[in-house]
Amino acid sequence: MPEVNHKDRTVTPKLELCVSTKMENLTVIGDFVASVAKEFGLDDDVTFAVQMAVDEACVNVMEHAYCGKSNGMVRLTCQILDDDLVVTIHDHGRAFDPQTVPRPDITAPLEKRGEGALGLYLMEELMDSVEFQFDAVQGNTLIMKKRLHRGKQAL
Amino acid sequence: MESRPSDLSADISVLVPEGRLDARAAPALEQELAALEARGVIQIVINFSRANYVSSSSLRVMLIHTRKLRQASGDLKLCALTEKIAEVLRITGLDTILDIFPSENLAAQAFLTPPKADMAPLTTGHGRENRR
Repeated sequence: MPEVNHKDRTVTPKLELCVSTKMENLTVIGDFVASVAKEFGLDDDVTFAVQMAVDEACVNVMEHAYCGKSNGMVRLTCQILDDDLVVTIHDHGRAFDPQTVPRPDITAPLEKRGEGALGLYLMEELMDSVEFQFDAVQGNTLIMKKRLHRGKQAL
Repeated sequence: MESRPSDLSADISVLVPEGRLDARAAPALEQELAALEARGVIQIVINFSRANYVSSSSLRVMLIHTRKLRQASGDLKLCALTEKIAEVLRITGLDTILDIFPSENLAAQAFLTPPKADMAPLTTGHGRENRR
């Protein structure tokens, strides 16, 4: 993948996937992230973290934003901007307030462990930043960043 | 998904999921566990040796069924996790709740010889042996 160095900036082209919200497409999405990782030369740990965060995010779009309907669309983009892999996930489903989603208490004993929001929790743990933007016209955009910590020789 | 009795005891059932245990595969895991429970099986091992991915949907299924089985004086034990799957369990804190073993035999043996309450767990502890 040719990278453009604008003075001190590293910017790759933006790789994009647009698929319907059929559950079957989770495999297509996982394969897309794997091919992006190969193209960008990401290591196994980063690849796994990004694949899992994207999988969880897309499941949330399918199950919650589109309420399980398979005729919605989800658009995924991946790009390296300086030291970050920036992933965006865009949809036109139902918006939600991430602040109101209770995060699981991972220290609670089994009898007190809730089963909800594990996906959102995993996204936040696996990525360095997770940010939601909701717009009535533009739709919902999730921006997740993963710091790459790569040496210059990897460029 | 393969479902068979354990080599050590017919009372212990072993499930062997394959490939990606993602949101699409979670309902099948749920059905297999529910089918075993409906037959009165309360000692279940999930052998992950053929699985390479576990998402939150499947973790949720495991959490619900572990709770159910323990209430019935049984348990759900996990074994042969890949390093990445073990990491996901660690991040979600499930490694401290679920019993995790390196091999299917050790998981099954733990059903046959449960550790005494006043003894510290040895090699069959509560998932910690899979921590990096």
